[in-house]
Amino acid sequence: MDIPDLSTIEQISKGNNEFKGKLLTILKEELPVEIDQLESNIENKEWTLAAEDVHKLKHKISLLKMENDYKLAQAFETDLSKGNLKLHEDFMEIMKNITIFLNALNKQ
Amino acid sequence: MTCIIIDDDASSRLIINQLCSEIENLDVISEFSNAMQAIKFLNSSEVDLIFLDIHMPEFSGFDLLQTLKNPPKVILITSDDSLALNAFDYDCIVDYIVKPIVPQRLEKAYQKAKSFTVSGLQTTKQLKTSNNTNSEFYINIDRTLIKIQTGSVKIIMAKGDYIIIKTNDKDYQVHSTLKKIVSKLPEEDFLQVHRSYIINLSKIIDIQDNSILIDQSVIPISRSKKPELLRRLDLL
Repeated sequence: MDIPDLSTIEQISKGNNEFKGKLLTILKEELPVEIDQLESNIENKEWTLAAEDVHKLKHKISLLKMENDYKLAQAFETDLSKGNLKLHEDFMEIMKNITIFLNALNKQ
Repeated sequence: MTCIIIDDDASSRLIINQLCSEIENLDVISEFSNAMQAIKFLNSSEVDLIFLDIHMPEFSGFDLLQTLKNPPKVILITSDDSLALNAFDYDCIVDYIVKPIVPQRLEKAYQKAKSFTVSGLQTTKQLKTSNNTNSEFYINIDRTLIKIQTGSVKIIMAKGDYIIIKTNDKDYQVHSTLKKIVSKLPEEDFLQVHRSYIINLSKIIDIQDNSILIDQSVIPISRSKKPELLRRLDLL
C-alpha cells in the first residue's frame, strides 16, 4: 500500500498555507461522507452509484500521490460497476490509511 | 476572459478556482456542483470558458454540452482518461486535463483556450439536417387520404407495426413507423424523446424527472434524449 504524500498538494498550493489548509479540510470532511455513501450503495447493490463513488474517491487518492493505490481504485471502479466486490477490502484499507493520515495532519 | 467551473467535487472546484486566480485576465464568475444549475446560469449569462467535469451524477459533462446551443470554449477535467476520444465529437473542447490538476497543466490549457476559435457545437448527431418545414401531411386510412395539420399533433406513438397519431381532435392509427413520420414533421417543433414516442414540444404541460406530461398522457424520456430535450426548451 502507498504512503500518502503531500507533494502534489504542495505543488498546487505554492506556499499558500491558507489554501492548503482549506483543501485539506475539504478532503477530511468529504472523505467519511463519501466512504459512507459507497458502503451504503454497496449494501443496496447499487453498483453504478457505488462505482461513481469510487470514481470520486479516486481524485483524493491521486491528490495524495498514491499511484499504486490509484490503479487498484481504477480496477475496483470497473469491477464494482459489474457487481464484483473482489477488491472491496483492499480499497477500504486504502480509505482507512488516508483517513488516519488526514486526521493526523489536522492534529499537527 | 470569464469562466465558470462545473464539478461535483468540492476539492476540485477549490483547486481550479485557486489556479485560475493566479492567471492574469482569467476571472471565475461562478462555480457549480451540478450540471442543471449550470445550464440555468448559461441560459441567461455568457461566459468565455467552462472548466467542466465529465463524471457527474445524473447529468454528465457531455450531456451538458449537448444541451447548449452555442457553447463557449470548454476545458474538460476528469479522473478518467478513457473518455478523451469522445471529446473529438465537440468543436468547442479546447483541452482535456486528467486529475490531479497541477498549475502548469492548467496554465497550458488556458493558453490554448486563448488562441482557440469556437466554430459552434456540432456533434455528429447534430450534423443531421432536415429541410422539412411541412405544416401538414396526409395519412392513408381505409383508402381515404386524411390531411393532418402538424400543429394539431400532440403525440405520435409506436404500437407494433402501427403508429398512433394523437391530435387535438382525434386519434389516428396508421400502418407506418416513427422513422417514416419523423421525416414529415418540422424538426424545430417535434422531438423523439423515446424509441416509441415523438412529441410536439409546444404541447408539453410539464416535465418531471424522466417523464413529460402532455394532455392526460405521461410520456417517458430516454436518458439519451434528455440533453436534446433540455436544449430545445427555454429554461428560465
